[in-house]
Amino acid sequence: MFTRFTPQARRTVVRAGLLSRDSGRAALDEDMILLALSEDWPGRSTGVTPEAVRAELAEPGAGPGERELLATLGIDLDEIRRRIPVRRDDPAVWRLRRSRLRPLNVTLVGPAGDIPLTPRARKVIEVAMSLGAPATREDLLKGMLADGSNRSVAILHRLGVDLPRLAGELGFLRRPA
Amino acid sequence: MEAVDELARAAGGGDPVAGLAAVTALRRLLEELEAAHVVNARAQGVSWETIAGALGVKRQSAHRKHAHRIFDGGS
Repeated sequence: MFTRFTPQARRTVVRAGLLSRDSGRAALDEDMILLALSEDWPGRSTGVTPEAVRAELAEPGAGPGERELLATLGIDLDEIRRRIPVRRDDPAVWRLRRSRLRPLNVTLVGPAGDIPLTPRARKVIEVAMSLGAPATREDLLKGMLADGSNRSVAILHRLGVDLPRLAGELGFLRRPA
Repeated sequence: MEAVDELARAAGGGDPVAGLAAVTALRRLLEELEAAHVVNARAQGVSWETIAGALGVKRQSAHRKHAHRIFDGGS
């Protein structure tokens, strides 16, 4: 599926997967695509910083992170990562794979393991692919905005982003009937 | 590091749940390490036979678990 993405969009999806993995999540959800996009906004910046998104993502009462948990066992996660023989953040070694038997299951597979996409994240990817050939980072953003019930849309709203205006700038406004 | 020390005390003795969470994090890390090393070994031309031997599993099991992750220039 990644062959239908621009290298930048591909990098963003891989980044979202690694961000999910590093925050101890089992799956890639659409809010991590927002976090990955916020590190370098496509088109005109919304002014939303990754730090602001992170603060919104922080689940109240969430336990300690992977790094801290492993440190209790005397394991230095950063040192182990330094010794890993493959560059895990290289988008070229990751693929987006649709299950043949269950076509609704899409998984990001690469040297850091398999990261399944949540149904919402899969929809973001699918809308992006339907909009652009190849799909760009802007298409990923449009894919995110396409479903108003996405967590990332609520986060952008809370951070004061004018969503109708953003959609307008992206040329993604539904014409009034 | 204060938080880690506190957590280490919890994992070491008092709080069994903190210890379990640490083990789960370790298991995830192991899976990641195994995947990375298999990808690397294949990229360097190591056979599935040898990889399986080093992992202590059957050739078929190693292939089934990891082959889909080997980048072949496709999708």
